Amino acid sequence: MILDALSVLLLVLGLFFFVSGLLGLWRFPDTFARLHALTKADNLGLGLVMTGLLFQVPDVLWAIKFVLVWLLALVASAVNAHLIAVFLHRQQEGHDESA
Amino acid sequence: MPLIIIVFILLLALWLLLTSGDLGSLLVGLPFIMLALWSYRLQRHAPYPLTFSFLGALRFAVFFLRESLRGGLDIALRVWQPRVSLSVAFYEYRLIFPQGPIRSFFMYCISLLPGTLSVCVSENGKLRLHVLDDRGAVAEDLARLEQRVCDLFALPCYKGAL
Repeated sequence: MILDALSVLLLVLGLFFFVSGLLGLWRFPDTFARLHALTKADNLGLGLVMTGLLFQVPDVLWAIKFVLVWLLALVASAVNAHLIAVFLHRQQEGHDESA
Repeated sequence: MPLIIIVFILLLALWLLLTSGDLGSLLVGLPFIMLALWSYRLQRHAPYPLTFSFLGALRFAVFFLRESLRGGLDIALRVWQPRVSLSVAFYEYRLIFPQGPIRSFFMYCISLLPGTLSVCVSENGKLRLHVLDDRGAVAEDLARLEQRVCDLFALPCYKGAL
């Protein structure tokens, strides 16, 4: 019962951070700033959702799986953010040279 | 055993763990493992041995979790305010890690931690990053991350030098 309540609390907190990331995507002024919002808020959101689900796992293998999914999502989000940032930076530099 | 075989076994184990050992799913998994191995072979830096410290890993994990929390809260505090308060800027930071996995790891961590996003390594060998708020203590944050990464890989780091 207490574990269920803890799960719900963490899931709701996680969702709050997902919504925050989304709001950042909408309200932040440029693409770089939006990347910040997505990488940080969503990772914390997913981390909290993952932790909330950890209280519901049937066995250790599932727990390892959840943690792995979170870590893989972290790697994917960091690599994606980096690739978008590099592309954007190159594009802006090219623009400066032509101007 | 050649390194590429070890990486193959690790990726295979990871896939089987994620699919609860469903061998039929290798029909999808194996092509992606091969793709990952191919991209792994594309890296152009000189190989160097990696060392790890268990205590360092523990310290890094604690640091990373705390900073993740701080990073997410920082974003949440900014987006829920009536007026978004940002002071975005580009920032340069000297790199102490040579090109390779540790440097990549350091750069990816930067992007996951509060207010910083690594962009690229510029021609003068410095790391170019984007900061959400240049009124904060960017250099101190980066130096702390650097120290924790050194701990993790058991590297002797003294006052920002290897």
